[in-house]
Amino acid sequence: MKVTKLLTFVFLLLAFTVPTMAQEPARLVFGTTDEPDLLDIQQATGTNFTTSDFLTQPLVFYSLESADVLVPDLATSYSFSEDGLKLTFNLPAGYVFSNGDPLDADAVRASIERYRTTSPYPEDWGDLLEMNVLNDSTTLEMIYEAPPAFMSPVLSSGFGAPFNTGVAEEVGNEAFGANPVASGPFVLESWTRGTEMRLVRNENYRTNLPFVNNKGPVLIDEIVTRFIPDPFTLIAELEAGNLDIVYGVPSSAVASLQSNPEIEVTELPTAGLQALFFNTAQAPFNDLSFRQALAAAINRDVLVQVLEGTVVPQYAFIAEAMVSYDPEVYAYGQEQLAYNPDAARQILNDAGYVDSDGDGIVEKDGSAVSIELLIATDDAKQMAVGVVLQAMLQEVGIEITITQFEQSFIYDRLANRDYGLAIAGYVWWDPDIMLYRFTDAGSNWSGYDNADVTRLLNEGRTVVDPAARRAIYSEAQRLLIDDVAAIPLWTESTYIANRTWVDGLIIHPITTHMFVNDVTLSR
Amino acid sequence: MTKYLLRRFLLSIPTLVGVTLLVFLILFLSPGDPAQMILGPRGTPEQVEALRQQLGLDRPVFEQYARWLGGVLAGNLGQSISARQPASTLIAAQMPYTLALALGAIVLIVVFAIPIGVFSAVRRNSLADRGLSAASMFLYSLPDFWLAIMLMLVFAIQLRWLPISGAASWQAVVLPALALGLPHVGTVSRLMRAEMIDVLGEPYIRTAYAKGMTQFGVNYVHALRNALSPIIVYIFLTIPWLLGGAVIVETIFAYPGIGRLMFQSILSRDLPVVQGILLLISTSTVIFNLLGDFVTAQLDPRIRY
Amino acid sequence: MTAVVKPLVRARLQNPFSPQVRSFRRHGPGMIGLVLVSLLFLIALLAPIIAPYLPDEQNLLALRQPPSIEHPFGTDHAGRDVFSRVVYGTRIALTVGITLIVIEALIGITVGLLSGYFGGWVDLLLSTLVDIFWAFPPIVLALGIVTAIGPSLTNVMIAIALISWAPFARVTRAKVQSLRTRDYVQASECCGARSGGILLRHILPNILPTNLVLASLLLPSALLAASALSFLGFGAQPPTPEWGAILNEGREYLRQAPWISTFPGLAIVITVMAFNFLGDGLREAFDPKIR
Repeated sequence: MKVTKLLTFVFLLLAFTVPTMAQEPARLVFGTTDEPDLLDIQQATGTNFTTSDFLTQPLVFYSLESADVLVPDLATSYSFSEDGLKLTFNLPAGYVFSNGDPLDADAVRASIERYRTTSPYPEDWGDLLEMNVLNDSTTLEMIYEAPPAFMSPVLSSGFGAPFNTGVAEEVGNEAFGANPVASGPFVLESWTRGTEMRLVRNENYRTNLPFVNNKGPVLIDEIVTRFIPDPFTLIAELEAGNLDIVYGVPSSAVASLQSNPEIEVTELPTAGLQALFFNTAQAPFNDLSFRQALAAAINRDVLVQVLEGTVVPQYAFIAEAMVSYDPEVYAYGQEQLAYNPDAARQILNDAGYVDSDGDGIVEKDGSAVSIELLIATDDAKQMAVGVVLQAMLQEVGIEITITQFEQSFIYDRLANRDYGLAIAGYVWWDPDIMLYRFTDAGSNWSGYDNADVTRLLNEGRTVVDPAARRAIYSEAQRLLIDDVAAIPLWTESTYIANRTWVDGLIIHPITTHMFVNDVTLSR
Repeated sequence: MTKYLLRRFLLSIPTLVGVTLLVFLILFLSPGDPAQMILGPRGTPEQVEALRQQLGLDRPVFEQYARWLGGVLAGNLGQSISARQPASTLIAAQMPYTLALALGAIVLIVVFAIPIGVFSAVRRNSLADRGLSAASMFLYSLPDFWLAIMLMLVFAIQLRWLPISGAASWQAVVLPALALGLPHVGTVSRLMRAEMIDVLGEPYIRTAYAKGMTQFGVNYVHALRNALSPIIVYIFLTIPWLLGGAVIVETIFAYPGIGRLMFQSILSRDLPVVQGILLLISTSTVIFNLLGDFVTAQLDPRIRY
Repeated sequence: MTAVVKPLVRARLQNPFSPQVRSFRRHGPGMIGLVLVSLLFLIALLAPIIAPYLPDEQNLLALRQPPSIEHPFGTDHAGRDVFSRVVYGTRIALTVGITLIVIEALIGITVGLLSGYFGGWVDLLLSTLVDIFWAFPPIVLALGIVTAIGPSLTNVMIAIALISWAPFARVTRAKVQSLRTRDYVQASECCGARSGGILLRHILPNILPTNLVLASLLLPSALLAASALSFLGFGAQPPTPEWGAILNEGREYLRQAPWISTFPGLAIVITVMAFNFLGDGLREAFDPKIR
């Protein structure tokens, strides 16, 4: 009798297991327009990390609520000393990289050291004096010369994630760039350039993130990332049910997807902005009144309308999703940079820009003002607003011509200050990015030079107290607004769409990072 | 005949040298500093200068050309700026997809264009001929970017017969191959028709009739064989053009391949990759040209050397 | 007797190409092409009268509106009337196509004349040059050139013209080679006529009909290449109402506002087809040997 019962049990067990074994692996298909050039962030110059984020695991991450609070991810706990000069990270004992190599404090130190030699952005780690490995290699202590208050975006993204330097040395940077070893929830299985990447579950993955339920390996078996450059094709695949998630839904498709009951759209404001940049070292932009006139000629509400409400007007240099955002500065900018075509005409007239030949276009000292606006062909929003901006400026008598280039080439021209006008911007969670935009510490696109701003921006990166830090950056922003160092236009939203059969997806509201730890598919 | 082919071969050497020089110069003259682009917007002037020296960008033009050509001959097209991989590796990885696409297009051309052309020639000036001629001309008036979008809308999105995009199965190649090949079906069928009409007017065809061969035999055995050789040469020449013409089609269908790689590389100004693809397409045109001459020499009984 | 001969003689005097004209008239598609092309020229000429709006006139209260009575082809993302843009685009398309083909023909015929007439090392050198340019598919090389000299409609035209003259050179060269053996040319040479004079007086008039047919056959592909490059963003710059550029601007809205790209797409198809029909008719009439 007992034997029969046992046999029945075994039979039932088999009956349930066999079909599940024969089932397709639980596969999440993820679509995006941009393909990364390489996956090793420690060598990358690009800005596209949506795929590599599945492979990496930072020590800590922003909490869901605030960018001022970090929570542990790979690390079990962390502490920053009162003066901000010592950062301590405690690591789980016996943790390993996806390939089984030990991931201890020595490995993290080696990874940071590699970052500082291979990355084009070694300054991301600031004035790091020394790194000490303690407690049987489960604790890493980082000692700083000045408090690295600017470092939270580095720490809580793939930039701060440990990579297996042993493998990197063994296979060389070239091979490692295309297939890095780290400790994220997935491992790269294959990459067919131009089509897709296949990622499989990392069985060694553990996390300490408080906001995910499943702290072990993820529940799905694999992720296929498909690269579909044409937005029309991308959305057609999502609607046909061939994609589960689309990251970066083009603004023109947002409305139709939102009305689809089988698709869920998440809208998150980007931590950054797009602005009208100009070369302040060159006429006519070296003239403050011309810049003021330019600012007064721009009607952001119309731009928002042309972009179908997928952006919000921006008047300040620190967006709401960034650290040290200040609504008062935003209001100040709203006042100073307000749309007022009559004022624009008046300012131009007072500054000697007059329409002497009656064609509706102003001249200075009898000669025409010729301005070229660079528009990125690979940026749909810029493509849409280019002609509208042109018409707005025409309205107050400023004539511009438009030339389309690739975004990367425009960045090149900006860095060399070989341009008149361009729409460009930044996305970074910490306001420290302004140091690289408005001082010669980085590519100072506008050629802006204001000793007070430079001093404030250098000071701000070392102040730990959030309120004190915000005050410094607010002052810097006001100076930038007064000088019209650039004209903030809008802040975009990132749209992520998923089929409703994807359960348990957590999209980080600050970084738009997708956590699939709890995801199951109920297709 | 060997002598003729040898001459053709020797003549193609200066052509190849000219082609490489042209490819090099075009991208040498491109504005923008590759070193700045490698380092990105956050690169400092010192880093840029150091990298310029490392890449040899501070050398005179001809030294750079010689260096580049030496590399090319050794199979080294340079390092991709954005992917940090040898450009040749990237291009080689995309080749199978583009070849599959080109093959699909050629099958389409052979299967449809040749019978349509022959039929039109035999039934010259009939209603069917006029209809087919108009259809052919309609086909080669279609811009490929337009055709690609329409094909996707109808066959993938509305009818759901074929995958919308990607390269996951063999079916995925059908729509891109149609978008790429259909305009050429138009051109080749017109060409086939004209060749066939020419051949049917030749004295030896009349002789064949006089000898009592059936019409079918004359049309499809004698005439077709002779009319085919220029068509085959044309198709050979079309192959590299298909490789280049795939730029738009591959992008719309998210199909991998060297066309899409080239477009992406132009966008990211990854000049070594652009240079490599330009070189590949142009040299293969020269080679296919040579192959075409060889095939003509083999096929066409009228050519004697 | 005279009554029968006279009209024939008059016809011959009136038009040396009358058999060709008759053959062209009999060619149905050729006539359709001629009518369509004339219509296109008319549209281009009368654009300001036909178009209800200026091509770059923005109406921010009417963004992406579907076709209606006020806007027969709808409006685009900046509230511009697509119909007016397409109508004005005809001017650009015709200008681009004709300018391109004239430049290509000038370069190609010159190279072909020199190459075919002088032969020897001149021929070898120029033929190699032709082979080099023959080796590049126009769009691919034009992409490269435009990357180098910057995007604009003029630059796209320069790029296409620089690389697409090879067919004219090849055809001219072959024709000149066969003409050189003709008696009257050899006679002039014997009499000590200067090469320039022979080329201009005896050879050029004989190669013109062939090149005219070739031009009409190549014009559609030149037009397509130019609009493909504009479609990719390398050609006409905003707000120029070039058809390929309008299509490109509308591609983003293919889903909610398909009319923005549908109509310029149709315009390209119709124009290219019209020229193809015309070219085909001309070929049948003047030079059936040309492909």
